[in-house]
Amino acid sequence: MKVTALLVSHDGARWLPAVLDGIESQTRPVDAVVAVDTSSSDNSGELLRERLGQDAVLAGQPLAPYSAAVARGLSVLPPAVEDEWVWLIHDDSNPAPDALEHLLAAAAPDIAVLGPKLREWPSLRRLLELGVTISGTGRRETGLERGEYDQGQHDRKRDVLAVNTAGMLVRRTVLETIGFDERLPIFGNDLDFGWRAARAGHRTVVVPDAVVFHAEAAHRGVRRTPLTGKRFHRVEREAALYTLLVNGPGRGLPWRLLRLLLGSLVRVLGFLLVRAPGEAYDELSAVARVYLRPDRIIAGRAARRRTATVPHARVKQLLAPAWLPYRHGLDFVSDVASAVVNQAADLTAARRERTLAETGPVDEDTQNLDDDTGLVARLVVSPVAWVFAGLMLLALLGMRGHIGSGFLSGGALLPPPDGAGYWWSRAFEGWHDLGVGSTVPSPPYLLPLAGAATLMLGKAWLVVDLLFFFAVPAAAWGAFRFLRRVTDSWHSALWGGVAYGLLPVLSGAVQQGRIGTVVVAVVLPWLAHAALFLASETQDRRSRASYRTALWLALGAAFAPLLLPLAVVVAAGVLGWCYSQNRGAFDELRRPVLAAVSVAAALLLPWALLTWSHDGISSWLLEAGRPASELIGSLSAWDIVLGRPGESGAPAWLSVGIAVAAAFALARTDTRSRVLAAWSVLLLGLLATAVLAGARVSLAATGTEERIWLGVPLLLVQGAAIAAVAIAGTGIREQLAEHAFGWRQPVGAAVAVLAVVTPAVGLAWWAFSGADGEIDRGPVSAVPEYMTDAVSRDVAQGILVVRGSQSAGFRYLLLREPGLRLGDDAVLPSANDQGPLSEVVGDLAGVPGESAAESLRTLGVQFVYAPAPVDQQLSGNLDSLAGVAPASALAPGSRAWRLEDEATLSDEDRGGALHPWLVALQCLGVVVAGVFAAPTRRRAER
Amino acid sequence: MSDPRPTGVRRAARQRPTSGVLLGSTAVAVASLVAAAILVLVTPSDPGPAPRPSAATGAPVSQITLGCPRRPNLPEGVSTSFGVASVVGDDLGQDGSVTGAPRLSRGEASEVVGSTERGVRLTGTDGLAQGLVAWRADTGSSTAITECPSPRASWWFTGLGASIDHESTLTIANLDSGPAVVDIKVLSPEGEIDVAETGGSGITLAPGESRTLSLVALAPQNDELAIRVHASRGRVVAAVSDRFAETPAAEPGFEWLPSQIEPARILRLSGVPAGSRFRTLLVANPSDLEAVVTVELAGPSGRVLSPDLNQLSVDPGALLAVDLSALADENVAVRLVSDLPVVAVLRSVVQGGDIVYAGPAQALTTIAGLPVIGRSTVHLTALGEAARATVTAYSVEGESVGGTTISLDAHATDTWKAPRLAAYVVVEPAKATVFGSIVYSGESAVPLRDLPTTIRIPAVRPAA
Repeated sequence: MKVTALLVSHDGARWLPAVLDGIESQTRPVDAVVAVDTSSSDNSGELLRERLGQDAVLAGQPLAPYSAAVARGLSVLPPAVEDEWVWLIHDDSNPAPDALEHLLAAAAPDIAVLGPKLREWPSLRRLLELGVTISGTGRRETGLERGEYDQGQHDRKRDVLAVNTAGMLVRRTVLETIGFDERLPIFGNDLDFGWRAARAGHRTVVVPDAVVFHAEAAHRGVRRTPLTGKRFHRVEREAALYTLLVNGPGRGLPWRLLRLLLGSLVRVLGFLLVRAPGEAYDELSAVARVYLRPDRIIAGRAARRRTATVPHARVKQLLAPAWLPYRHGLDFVSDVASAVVNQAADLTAARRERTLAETGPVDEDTQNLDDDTGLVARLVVSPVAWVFAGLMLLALLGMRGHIGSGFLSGGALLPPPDGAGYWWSRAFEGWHDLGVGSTVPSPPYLLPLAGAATLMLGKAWLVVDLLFFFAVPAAAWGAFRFLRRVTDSWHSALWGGVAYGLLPVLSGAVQQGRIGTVVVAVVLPWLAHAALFLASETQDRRSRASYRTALWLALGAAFAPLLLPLAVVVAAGVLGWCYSQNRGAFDELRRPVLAAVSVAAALLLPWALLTWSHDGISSWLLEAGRPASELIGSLSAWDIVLGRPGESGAPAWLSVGIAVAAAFALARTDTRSRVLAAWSVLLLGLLATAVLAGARVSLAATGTEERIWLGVPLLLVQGAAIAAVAIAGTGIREQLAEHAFGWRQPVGAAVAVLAVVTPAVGLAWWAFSGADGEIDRGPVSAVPEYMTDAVSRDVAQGILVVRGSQSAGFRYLLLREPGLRLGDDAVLPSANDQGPLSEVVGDLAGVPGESAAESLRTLGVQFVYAPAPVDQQLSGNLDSLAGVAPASALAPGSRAWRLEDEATLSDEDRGGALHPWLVALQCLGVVVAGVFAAPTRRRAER
Repeated sequence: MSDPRPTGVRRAARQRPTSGVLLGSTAVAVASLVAAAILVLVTPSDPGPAPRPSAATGAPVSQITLGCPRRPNLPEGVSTSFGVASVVGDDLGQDGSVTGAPRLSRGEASEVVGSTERGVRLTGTDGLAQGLVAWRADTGSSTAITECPSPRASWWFTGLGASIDHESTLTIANLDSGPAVVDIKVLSPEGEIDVAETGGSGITLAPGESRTLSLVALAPQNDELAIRVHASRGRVVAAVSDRFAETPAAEPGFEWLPSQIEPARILRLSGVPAGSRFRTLLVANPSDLEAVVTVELAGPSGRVLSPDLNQLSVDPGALLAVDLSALADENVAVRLVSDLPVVAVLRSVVQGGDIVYAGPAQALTTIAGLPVIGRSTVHLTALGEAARATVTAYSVEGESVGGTTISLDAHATDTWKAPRLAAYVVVEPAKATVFGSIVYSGESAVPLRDLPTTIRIPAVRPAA
C-alpha cells in the first residue's frame, strides 16, 4: 500500500508551516509528498521548496483551477502501483498525527474514497464536516448545526456522497479515471467528484477517527484569489447549480431547471429583504451564467454518462432528503421572527428606561410595579391604556349605525370590491373595462389597499371597515406617540392624541366617506414621527429615518396627493431655516430631507407622471374616492379656522378651544421655538386652504368644474394647532404656579380649562351623534341582478344607467361590473372619451334617430336601466325605438330595456401595455425603500 | 435611545423670562394677525354654484310625428278632411319632407289623403319638421276641428260623459314601432271610478294599432267625467270625441275635447265664444287633498271677478261642474289659479245645440299656427300685463292674405276674424305674452300653442 500526499497551495504561507508539520508528524508516514504551488504571490513557494525539496514542488499555472493543479501533481508521479492512494491536502488543512493511520485502517477493496472528520482551524473543537451531500436546491448539506462542538456525537463510520478534498484519501486509479471537473475551479468539486465516483460504483466513506483541521480560507472569503474573485458567493452558487444539473437524473431535468430558477429568484428576493444586495446579485448572476451556457451542461452530462456504471437510484439515498430545504426555510422564518421579537423587546426595554428617566413622578403607579409584572397588570394600571380602550369602545359606539351587512359606502366612498384581486388588477392593468374603456393611470392608493386587503385574507371590505371604524383611536395613537417625542409630559401627549384623534369625525371626513383624509389622519402623526429622526445623530439612523419618512409620505400622498407638495414646502422651510441659523445642521439635514421627499415622489411613479397627460393638476388636488363636491359647501373663514371642510362635521364651535389655545400657546416663552415650528406648519395649512377654498378643478370624468375637498390641509392646520397647544401645555400648572399671582394665572387657567374641555365635548358629541352622515351600509348596485349576471358573463353586455330629467339634465354610467367599486372613481374614462356615449344618451333623452339602438350596441351596451323617477320622454323614446325591448325593472317606478341584438365591443387599440411593468417597478421600489427603512441590517456573516 | 430632536429645539428652553411678557403678547398678536390676514386676503368670495358647462341647449327640430285620430261614429251630414301646413316663419327650415303631403314646401298648406277609419300618421323630417301643424276637420251640419298631436305618455281630458245625453269616445293610437301599454284613470263628481274591471287598465297596443273605447263601457251612468290616459310603456296619441245634448230632446252637438298634458296650478282656458247659451266650467282635482280654485274671467275690457265664483273647492279625486251661464255673454277667457294641480275645461252650448270646449291654452312665446276653416276667429288674451301680438293669415301657397297687430290691455281678450281666403293663420307675440285659440264658426275651438321649431337638448354627462 502506497500513499502519496498531494498538497496544493495558493497564497497559503499563513498556514503552510503548520500543515507541513502535520504531514511530517503522521504516525503512518506518507510515502511521498508532491506539492503544487499555483503561482502564489506570497512566499508559499519558497516555504514548500525549503521543506520538501526543489523536486517535490511543482509550479502550477497561475489561476489554474484545483482540478488542473491536482492533474499537474498526478502527472509527475511514478507509474501507479497496486493499492496506491493519493492523500489530497489543502494548504489550509492540517491533519492530526494519526489521521492517515485511521483513514488507511478503514480502507476496503470496494471503498475508493475515504474522508476525515474536518474540524475548524484554529478553534480546533468545532465540527465542520463529516462528509457532505447536496440538497435539491443546491445547498451543501453537512448534517451539522452551525458551530457544533465535536463531542464525538457524530463519530460513526458511514457511507456518504462526498468528502471534502481537504484530507481526502482517494485511490489513485479512481482519481485518475474520474478526476475533477475543470468547470468547478474551487467550490463544489468535491461534491461533484463524490457524486461521479458513486455513479461509477465506488463507495465513499467518512472516517471520524481521522481528524483534519481546516481553515476554509477560500470559503470564508479570507483568501481571495482571482478564481474566487470578490464574488465567491456567486462562484459557490454557480458550482452548486452546475453540479445538480449535470449529475442529476436526466428524466427530471426540465423540472429541476425550473425549480432551481424559481428557487434562485426567491433567494434573490430573500437577500433583498434582509438588505444583502451583494448576495442577491451573486445569486442572480450565478443563475444567469449557468443557464446561459446550456452547452456546458450538455457536455458535462455526456462526460458523466461515460464514467457511470450504476443507476441514479443507487446514489439517491446518499443525497439529502427532499424535505430538507423546506425545513431550512421554516428555520429561517422562525429565526427572523424571533429576531424581530427580540429586537422589539429590546426597544421596549430601552424606551421604558427612557420613560422612567424622563417622566419622573407622573408614572408612579407603573413604576412601583416590580419589573417582572406582567403586561396585563401594567396595562390595567396604565391610564393611557384605559383612554385608548375607551376610544376603541367609543369608536364602536360612534359607528353603531353602520354595523351590519352590505358594504360601507356613500358620500365620497364607493363600496369596496369583493376581494383583494380586484384592487390588484385595477392597479396593474393599463386598460380598465369601465364604461367605454379607459387608459387613465391607476391611482397609487390601489397598491396599499390591495396589500392591506391581501393581509386581511382578501377581505377588502374589512380594510375599509377597520379604517372607518377605528380611524379615531388609530389617529389618536399615532398623535400620542408623536407628541410623546416632542413634549415632556404624557398628560399633554394624551390630551393632544385624543384631540387629534377626533379630527376625522369632527371634520366630517368619516361621515362623508373621505377615505383620503381618514388615511392621512392616521398616517400624518407617523410621518411627523419618522421625520423627527431625520435629525438623528448617526448617519445610519438618518438614512433609515429618511426612507421611513419617504414611505409614510408616499402612503399619505397616495391617498391625498396634496400632502406631497405640502411636505415639499415644509421641507424647504426647514432647510431654509437651518441654512440661515445653523450651517452644520443644514449640512446634516440636507441629504435625509431631500432624500425623503424625492424618494416619496419617486414611489408615486408611474402615476405621478402619467396623470399629467390625463387629468393634469386636478388629480393632485383631489383625494382618493369620489369628488362628491355636492357635499362641500362654500367655506367661510370661520370654517377654515375651526377645521370644517364640509357640511357633515360637528358644529364648528366645538373646535373653538383648540384655536384659542393655539394662539395663547405662543405666549409661553420657554417652549416658543417649538410652538413657532408648529405654527409655521399651521400657517402653511391655512394658506393652502385659503388659496384652494375658492378654486374649482375640472373633473376629466364628467367635464364639470367642481369644488375641492380640503380635508388634508385643514387636518394639517388642526394637527399643528394641537401640537402647539400640547407643547406649550407641558407642565403648565407648575409654570403658572412659579410666577407671582397676576393676570397670567386666571387667563392661563381659563385657556387651559378651555383646551381640556374641548376634546371632552368632542367625544361626547361623537358618542351622541353617532357619526351620522352620508356613509351607510348597502348593496353595491341597484341594478337588477339578471343584468349584472349577464355582464359578468360577457363584458360586452354593459348596463347603461341613466338618471335625471329634461330640466335637471341627465347623468349616465356605463357599468361592466355590478357597480363601481372603491378605486374605480379614479380611473373612470374621461368625458371626452365618453363623448359618443353622451351623444347617444342625449339622443335617447331628446329625439333618437333610427340608428340609436345600433350605436348603443356597438358601444357595448346591452341593457339600459333608468332608476325611478324615470323621465317620461326618455322612457317613451326607448319604448318606441326599434331594436330595443322593454325588460323587467324590479324597483317600483324604474324602467329597464334590453337591446334585441347582442352587444359587441371592439377590442382594438387598447393601449396601456407598458403600465403593468411600470407598476411592478413601483412595487419593487416600495420593497427596496422598505428594506432600507427596516431597522435590521444583516451583516455578511459566514 | 438617543433623543432625535433637532438641537435648536432644546436651546429654546433657555429664554430669559423678563422679556417673556412682551414677547408673548407680541407673538400671539403677530401670529393671529398673520393668520387673519391670510384668511381675509386670500379667502375669495364663494364662486357660487358650479357652472353647468353642458347645460341644456336648443336645436332645430329635425323630426316630428303627428297623429290624427279616427272617429268611427261620425254623425250624418258631416264630412272629414285632414290638412297640414308648414307655416311661414323666420329661420324655419326649407328642406325636408312630410309624409302624406309629399309636395309640401315651406309656407304651404295641403290636404292630406287619409282614411276616417284609420286616422292619419304624418312624419315631418329635417327643415319641414319645424313649424308643422296638422289637423282634422269635421264639417257640415256640425263643425269639429282638432289638431293632430304628437305621441306622448300622458294625456288628460275633462268634460267627458257616459250617459244617454252625454257620450264620449276615447281613441288611442300607438304610432311607434314598439308596443304601448295604457292605463286609464277616471274621475267623476263622486270621486275616482275604478275602471280596472271594465278594461281601463293594462291596455296593450301593438305597434301601429289604434283602439276606440267608449266611456259608457268604461264608467257607465256618469254625466260628467275627467280621464287620464297614461302610457306606462311607450307613447300614444289620444283623442276624445264628445256628443252632448243640453236637454234630453235636443239634437246632440259634436266636438273634440281639448287635451292637457299634466294637471297644473294655473290654467288659462281660451275659446269661449260670445253668444253661447250655457257655459259650464268643469274642474277636476286628481290629488289627495281638497283643491281651492280661484276663477277669473278675462273679457274684452279686462279682468272680471265674480264674487260668487271667487273660490271653488274641489274634493280630492273629484270633478266639479260649475254653471257660468249667468255671466256676461262676451268673448271671454278663463284663468284658474289653484293651490293644487287641477285639470279643467269650459263647455259652451251655442245656438243650434252645438258645443264648444275652451281648453287650456299655452302662453305663446315663439310662433303658433292653426288652420282657417270656415268662419275662423282668433281669440287672444293678455297675461298679467298689456301685450301685443301680430296675426297673419296665409293662403295655401303661403302668400300673406291679411293680418293685424292686436294690442291688449292686461287680462283683456280681443278677437280678429281671419279672411275666408286664408288657409292658416300665424300668431306671433310681439310684446309680453298672450294666449288664445281659434274659434271655428262659433262651434268649435282649438287652443293655440307654440309650434315645435326648436327642441331642448338636455344636458347629458357621465356620472362620477
